[in-house]
Amino acid sequence: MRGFIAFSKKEITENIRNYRLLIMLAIFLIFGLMSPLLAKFTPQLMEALMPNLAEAFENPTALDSWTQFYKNVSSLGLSLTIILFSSCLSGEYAKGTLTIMLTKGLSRPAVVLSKFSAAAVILTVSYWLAFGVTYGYTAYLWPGASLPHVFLAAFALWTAGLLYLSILMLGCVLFRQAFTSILFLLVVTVIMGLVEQIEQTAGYSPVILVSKNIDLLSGTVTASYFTIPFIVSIFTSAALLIMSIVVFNKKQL
Amino acid sequence: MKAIVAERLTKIYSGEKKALDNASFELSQGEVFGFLGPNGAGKTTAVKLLNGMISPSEGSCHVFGIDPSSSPEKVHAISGVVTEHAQMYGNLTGQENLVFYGTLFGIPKEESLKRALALLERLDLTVAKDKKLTTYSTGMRQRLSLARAMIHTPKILFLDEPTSGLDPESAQSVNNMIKELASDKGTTVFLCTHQLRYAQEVCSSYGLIDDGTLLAVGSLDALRCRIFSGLKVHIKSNRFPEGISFRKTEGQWAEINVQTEDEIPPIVKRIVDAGGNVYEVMANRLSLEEIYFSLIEKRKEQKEVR
Ligand SMILES: Nc1ncnc2c1ncn2[C@@H]1O[C@H](COP(=O)(O)OP(=O)(O)OP(=O)(O)O)[C@@H](O)[C@H]1O
Ligand SMILES: [Mg+2]
Repeated sequence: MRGFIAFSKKEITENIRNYRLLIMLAIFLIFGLMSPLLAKFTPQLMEALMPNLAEAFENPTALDSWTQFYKNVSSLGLSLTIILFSSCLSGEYAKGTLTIMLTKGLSRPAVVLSKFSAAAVILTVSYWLAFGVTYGYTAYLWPGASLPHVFLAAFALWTAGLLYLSILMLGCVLFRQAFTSILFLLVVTVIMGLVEQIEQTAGYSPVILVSKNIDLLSGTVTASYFTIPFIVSIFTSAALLIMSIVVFNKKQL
Repeated sequence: MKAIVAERLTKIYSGEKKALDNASFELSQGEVFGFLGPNGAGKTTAVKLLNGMISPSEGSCHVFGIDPSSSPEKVHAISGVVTEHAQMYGNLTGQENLVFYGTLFGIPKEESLKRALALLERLDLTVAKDKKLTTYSTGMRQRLSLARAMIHTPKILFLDEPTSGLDPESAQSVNNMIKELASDKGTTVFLCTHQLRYAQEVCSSYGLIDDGTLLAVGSLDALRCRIFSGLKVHIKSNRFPEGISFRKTEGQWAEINVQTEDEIPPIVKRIVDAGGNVYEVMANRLSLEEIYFSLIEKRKEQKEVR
């Protein structure tokens, strides 16, 4: 526990110094601001650029604002997070900084959990910042608009974000190179995508948590549709973290 | 209790070559032990064994009665290590690095900070304490890793070439610190080095190792006894009488071996009586360097015979 706390503090300080925290906050803040703005001004933009198509974009609603949000965050936002944190262990491997601490009694699970926690905290803060900004801005631009399950939809994407981080964690523990960890994550993502494609298993895939958020807001799917993917996601994350710890315990440094 | 006891300690890395072969030695508490030997002799291997970073192939070792291979964490609680490639975090400042390691070892934050500042002061790093490690020079890093090794005031320090990247001034101050630690706090120091002159200034006993084999262990006097315990006298004169076995060296210099100091005045008298002028006389015992080379030389000869 003592090792975990000391190591986590060091992680946060390092993430501030190497600008990871700043980049994450800045990018997510931009997403938060841009999404409602883009939705609001798309009609004007369209009219200026392609007048003949403009009709289709008339009268944007709060739903368009959230559509932009989920599009940006689930693709660009999560990719950026993954790229930033893919090097969280490779740097330590390359510099050999862990060896001395591990021989000095720092427990290996503490290293894995600290790395994950630091990434998770930074993602959480940045993500909910973006959400808060979009939420406030949307309410301001479309006063009185009310959508169902705004928080639930956001919660779903956040859970998925943590799942991706735990997949990345296992990748980082398995492979020495940051690039290989990203590749590992891509492979797992493709598998989860396939699970969603197959009719019998479609309802179980955590991919639902990142792809169906808008359908929840528009009422196309019900909240209960998210229950199973949500549970699957939580358990998978936990299992992945345990696997990371087990693998890291056996790893030669 | 003995600080270190090694019994027939042997390490064979995957392969057949013995990196350490049947090494037995003991260290008392408060001793500064110089572990000397050429590249690839097995010094780092010994440090790793004593720290439990690797396990012995045969034999055993104990540090303050603890077996490092079965309970490394207990050894680490009382020991500090500086290895050749010890790395710290480039993004953190010198002070932050030290405080981090301190808290990792269970020292409360304020106490860690206090100790860190004292160590930084002592190792001449106070001006750089708030600079990121990436801006440190090799020597500064070396000194910082020394500070890290001492943050939890260990009973025993393992230093693997702690002065290799240091300028003479820093090396001197590190050596003084090692001496102080041993004399004031009773810290035992296991020091691996190539720098024999520094070793002779700092160490109270020595182990000479070559090719995994421990050639000799003991104090400087004990080692001298194995080669030549007397004095080597250098004399500068314009004339050396016959009948005394002088070895001519350079210019007007010649040297001669004697067993005790008392033999020197008669020799000088004989030169003067023979009409020579004596300009300088120097008498030295064998230096560590000379002992080292003659032991290594002897071993080479033994190998050739075999
Ligand atoms: N991990 C390893 N695997 C295989 N052989 C090794 C390993 N580490 C060291 N050796 C071998 O063991 C022998 C002793 O190495 P060691 O590092 O102990 O030498 P050293 O005395 O510290 O040398 P130096 O003065 O160069 O630091 C060498 O022949 C080296 O090649
Ligand atoms: Mg070495």
